Amino acid sequence: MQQPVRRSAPLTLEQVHFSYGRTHAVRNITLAAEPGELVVLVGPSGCGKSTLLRLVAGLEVPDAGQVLIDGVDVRFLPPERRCVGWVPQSYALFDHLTVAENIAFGPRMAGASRAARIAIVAELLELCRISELANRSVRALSGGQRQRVALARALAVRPRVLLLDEPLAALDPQLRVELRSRLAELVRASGVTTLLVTHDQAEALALADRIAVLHEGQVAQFDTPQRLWEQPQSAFVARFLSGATIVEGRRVEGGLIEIAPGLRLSPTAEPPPTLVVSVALRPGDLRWGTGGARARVVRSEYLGGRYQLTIAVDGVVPLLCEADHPVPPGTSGEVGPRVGARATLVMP
Amino acid sequence: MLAEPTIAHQSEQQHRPAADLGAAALAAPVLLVLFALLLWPLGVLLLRSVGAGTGELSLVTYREVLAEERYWRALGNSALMALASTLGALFLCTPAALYIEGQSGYGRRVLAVLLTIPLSLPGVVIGFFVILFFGRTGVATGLAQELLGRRVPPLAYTFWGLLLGYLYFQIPRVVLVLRGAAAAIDRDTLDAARTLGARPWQVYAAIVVPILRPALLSAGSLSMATAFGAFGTAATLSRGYRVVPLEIAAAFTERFAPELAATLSVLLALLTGALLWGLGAAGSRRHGIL
Amino acid sequence: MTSRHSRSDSLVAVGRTFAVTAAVVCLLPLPLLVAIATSTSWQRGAWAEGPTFRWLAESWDNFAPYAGVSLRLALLTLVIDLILGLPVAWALARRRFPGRQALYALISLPLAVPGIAIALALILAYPTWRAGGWLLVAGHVLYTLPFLVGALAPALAGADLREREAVAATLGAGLLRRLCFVTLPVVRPALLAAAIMVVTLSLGEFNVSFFLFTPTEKTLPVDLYAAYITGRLELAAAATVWFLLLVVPAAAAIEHLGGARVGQA
Repeated sequence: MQQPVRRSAPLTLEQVHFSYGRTHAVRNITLAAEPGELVVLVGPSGCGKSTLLRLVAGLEVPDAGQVLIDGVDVRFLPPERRCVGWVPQSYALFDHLTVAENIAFGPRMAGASRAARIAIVAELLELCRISELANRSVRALSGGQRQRVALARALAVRPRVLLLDEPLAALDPQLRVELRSRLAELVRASGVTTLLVTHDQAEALALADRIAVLHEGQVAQFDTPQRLWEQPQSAFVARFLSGATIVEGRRVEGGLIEIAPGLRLSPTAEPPPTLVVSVALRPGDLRWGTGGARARVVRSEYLGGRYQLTIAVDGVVPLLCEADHPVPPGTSGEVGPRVGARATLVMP
Repeated sequence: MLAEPTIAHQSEQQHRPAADLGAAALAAPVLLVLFALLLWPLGVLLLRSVGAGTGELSLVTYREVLAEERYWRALGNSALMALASTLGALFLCTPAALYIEGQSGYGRRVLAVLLTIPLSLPGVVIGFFVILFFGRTGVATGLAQELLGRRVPPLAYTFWGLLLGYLYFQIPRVVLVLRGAAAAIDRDTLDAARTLGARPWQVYAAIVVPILRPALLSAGSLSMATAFGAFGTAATLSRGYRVVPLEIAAAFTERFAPELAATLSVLLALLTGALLWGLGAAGSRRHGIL
Repeated sequence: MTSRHSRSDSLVAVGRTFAVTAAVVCLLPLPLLVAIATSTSWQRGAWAEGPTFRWLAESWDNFAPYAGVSLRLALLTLVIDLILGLPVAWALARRRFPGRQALYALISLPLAVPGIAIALALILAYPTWRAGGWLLVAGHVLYTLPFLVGALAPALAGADLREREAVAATLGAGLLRRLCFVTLPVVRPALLAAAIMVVTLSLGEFNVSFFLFTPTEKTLPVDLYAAYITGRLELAAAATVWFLLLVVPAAAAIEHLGGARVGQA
């Protein structure tokens, strides 16, 4: 079904809408991925992100908007003809087949000869570093092994787009961080344009070339991790990605931003011409002890090696700051910016 | 196989010997009743089939039965009927069960209820339904006569009529067994197969059927055993097509030959028993009640 | 939890076609039956002279006593099943003892043996009891007990239920109280579904009943059979309509209660 090529990007979503029942899962989503890019979709737990993957895979049909793969509108193409690699959260391995048979499934459906299948399987076992598992039954594998088999299986069809739905969520927390970088390596080595969904912002920041932050079914911001961190365009993005507290700051002389009397930081970017600006303050931006502002500790939480204090500063919402020694609630003292901390401005 | 019960109370552990006695007490009535009403009569049946009532034990009735073509024909008919209706039911009900379990909401409940209607109907009523459609004055017969412009023989009392009756009878039972297994299939697995390029029939062949194999064997064996032993439908529809249960009835009520009837019954019972435990054990891991 | 909304999905469409076809096949005879039962003369066409309730009225007079017999028998079967089956279901669900598998296989044995064989076996073993109608009861009990036990044992074995009973015990409830206030409410749907199923199976039982009935204890299906073989079509259809009215709502009730599992049990 050929249409005039708009953009030859491997994956383009234009104003995609999808709803079931009366809930809008996904609204007005527009984004495009460059060849070989790893785009991460991140946002609070809800059905929007996974639904988007299913829309790209062809398992759902959007109510409105276009899904273009390599510039071709695939809206009415069934999943078996789209040539995408979809890895759901549960991995959905075929329990009744061995690892090798799972990986060979796609080529088998495409009618590849036995020799071709063997070759593809060997190649992917090597790439995913699971060669020793080739003839094992899928049932006996660990979580990390299952993940790699699922990945190999998806890559075996030489997909144009790889769709990963929370690939690390099913694993133990300790494993997650270690396997995270291996996953990124593998995906980049394959060279396939990838769309990865996660609700873990740390994962998003670590893995992505670009991140699309989803909020209530829409894209709040689509940017590189660095720009999202340093130049959040909305309070939601700042809060979600870094746990920041949003406060109002006033521009004062010297180009500084004043959060509270005595508490001033220099901004990360050129502030807008208004007097009052929105600032995203992260817990690590403020330190207890010395500084310019008086505050009182409301709550103290041990984070392992350091303490996170909730403090009350006159005229400002409760802020978070850090200390390296315990400070009992009720203590009054001084709080000031950490050395090198800057005020992150929230500018749409 | 039956799963092991987990003992909830610590105190029950200490009472292990008493627990066994308690279990024995709970099970005793049933055991007595089953012995008196099931095992003993079946034993009598077996004994009569080898001529216990006539004073000497011999296998003469068995030899008679196995020699007569009439009984072989009946067995062949029964087997054909059982196999055809079972395969037909499995073919029809596998996608149906998958669909019902994959959906949620009102429509699915309606479908599920509709599919359990034949469950409560005895074979005779189903036979009657077949007559209504395919009998001499049947709806389908009349329609065919109008379309073809000539007299059409009624299908009801032939192989096809009986087959339709058996199929109607099997559908709810097969659906019930398959629904349980279909519910356990992860939808994502089917979706993943599709994204890997499998067309719908390939999804069924490569994924659904292998995963459902135990349930299919279980449903199939139950279905075939039931078909072999079904009497009501055949009694209502029989005019020429003889199946084994009809021969048993004839032997007993028409020819007053209880030994013959007993022999045929024993053979049939062995066949259905073997089917159930053979195929069923080879298949279902979902056996049992727990 | 995502709702699978694949409207144009061909895989779902295949399933839907088969499901609807099967449902239509199951449903189709019913309207035809009603049409015949309410036609003055089917040979002349459906409702050739307008719908009539004559056949329904006529067959009711014949039908009612047999309905009474069948219902009495079904309830008697249910009571006996409960007396025999509840303790066994409890034992199978909660006790570990040698021969559990064998016991369950024994209870399910009647399902593996053709009804006609069991009827014959009973007649040959207890020829003097046949006239009293008790063999009929025996046959019904044999065929319904596996379903009762098969439905109750899983319900009683549920880990959640056992946990709740344990909690109730720690809160001071004795055995009787636990049974009444914890076990019974949880088990009630399964119990109800199983009871309805036993009654339904008994009402519809033919294979055994045909050989074990007596002039005074003649069940509905046996009477229907006579109607099919010798009676007038419209009258037989009307009798069937009454039978269905008795039996089909029960099937719906079972499904509504969550369905009683048949399976290999």
